[in-house]
Amino acid sequence: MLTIAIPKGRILEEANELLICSGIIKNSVKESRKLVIESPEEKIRFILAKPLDVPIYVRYGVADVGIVGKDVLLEDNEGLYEVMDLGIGACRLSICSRPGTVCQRGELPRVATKYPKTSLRYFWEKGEQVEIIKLNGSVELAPLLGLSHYIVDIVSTGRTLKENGLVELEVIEEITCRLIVNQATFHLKNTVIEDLIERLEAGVKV
Amino acid sequence: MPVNFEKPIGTGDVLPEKLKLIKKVSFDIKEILERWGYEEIDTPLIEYQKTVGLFSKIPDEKLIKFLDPLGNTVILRPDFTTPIARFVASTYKDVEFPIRLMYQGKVYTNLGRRGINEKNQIGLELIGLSSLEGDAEVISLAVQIFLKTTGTRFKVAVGHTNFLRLLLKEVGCEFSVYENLSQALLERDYVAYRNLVNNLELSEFLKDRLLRILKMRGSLESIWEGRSWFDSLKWQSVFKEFSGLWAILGKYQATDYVNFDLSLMGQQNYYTGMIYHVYCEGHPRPVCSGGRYDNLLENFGRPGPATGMAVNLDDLLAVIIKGKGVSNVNDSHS
Repeated sequence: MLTIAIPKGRILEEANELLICSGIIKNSVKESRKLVIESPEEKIRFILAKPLDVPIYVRYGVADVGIVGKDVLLEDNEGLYEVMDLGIGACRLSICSRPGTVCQRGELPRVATKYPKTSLRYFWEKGEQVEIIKLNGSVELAPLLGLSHYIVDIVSTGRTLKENGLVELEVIEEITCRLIVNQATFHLKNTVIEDLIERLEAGVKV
Repeated sequence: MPVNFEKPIGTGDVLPEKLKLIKKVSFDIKEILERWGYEEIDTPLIEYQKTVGLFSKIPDEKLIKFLDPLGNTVILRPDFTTPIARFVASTYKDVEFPIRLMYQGKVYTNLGRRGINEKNQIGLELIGLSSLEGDAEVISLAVQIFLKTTGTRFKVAVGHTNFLRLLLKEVGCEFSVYENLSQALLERDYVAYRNLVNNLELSEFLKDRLLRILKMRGSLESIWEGRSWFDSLKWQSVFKEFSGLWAILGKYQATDYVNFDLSLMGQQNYYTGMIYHVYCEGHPRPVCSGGRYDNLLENFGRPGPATGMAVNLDDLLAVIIKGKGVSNVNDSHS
């Protein structure tokens, strides 16, 4: 039995398509109140989780493998194997603001984000000290209400930005979903994992 | 301000039942090691930052530091290997190699905001033996320990610190490439490793070899194709080491429990040769790790090869409790 953690929301549909395409499951995993979904025929169990929780389930070994965006892994990839780029869920992690935003001299720029570690690291590498404001959603609100100068968030079509009058300033990283594997699973069920990777590699190419 | 029920984050009390189990398991482990001639020693909980702290090669921010009464910076020992190197080079300087020592105690690292990482370790150091027999001895002792104390399936993953460096030299890469690629492997980020390799200015043929090592994992057979990749003496000798080790492990009947892994990287920066990690089914982290460190002792003024390993007792206990190996442990003393 292999336990796979997959994220609810944005990525689920594409993940289903890939899993079916790769011949790993026959019917798609549906989001419902049920959070653990058994697929006994294929000897697979799915855990539906919040994206940020996927690495945690895999690290603690309650899931053997997980599907999760690189944006999440940039924040938290400790103790996991990141074995494959699944190519789905493509988007980018970007710095955005209202057009023409400037900071007063001597003022520490404030950055609102769901990704505090990655944001801090990025500005640090640029040689800028900033104040990070950790938000848990609707990050676009922050510059509109004057809470922050900038936001760091994922952008896919750019529609949300546009509707809120924000512009994309810099791309920090191109994001896709990755297959992550628990350390012990990787070493003890290596043939199962290699087989899974091979199928997914074939599925990605379709 | 701490309140009266709190203890520093990351530390823990041990309850009687668990302590009994720890004692039983430790007894079993020490019994195995004693049979092989290992003698138990203890070292101070604190050491000087400028000696043991520095030579441990553990990043400064990961050490827990404070001042001793004379104003010297001291650290809580982050591992036993470095203090034992100090001990062997000073107090034991007249004792002839090989020296077999074992230890049990707590080690501490600094996790910053996440607090202190307190680990209960039991381990061994085999000092003054440069041959593969040394590596094989440590690996088969690990196998014996896990067979004796747990009823859970486990694997010892064996890699070689210099393998990637050597491979890059053979394909003609610069040193800066090594830094990036080894970092990717250390973080177990195969996607980053693949992207870095694909961006190198190399023939597809050589790139394939750099990528191939991600899949070379298992018995000697599963890595053996690599032997014929290059003719250089160094390349041939590293594969001779792999096959030599496998042959000795065969004699110890340990090969069923060992997997080579060419992409394995050691967490400790002082490793110089073979490195080992033990993984148990159902436990998310390595339970035991170790490796060869031939350059550590010379820092203390007594050069000598060495290898060793440490079992994280809390992880081992979790495996035993989960795997109901507990009854086996009890049986062995009744």
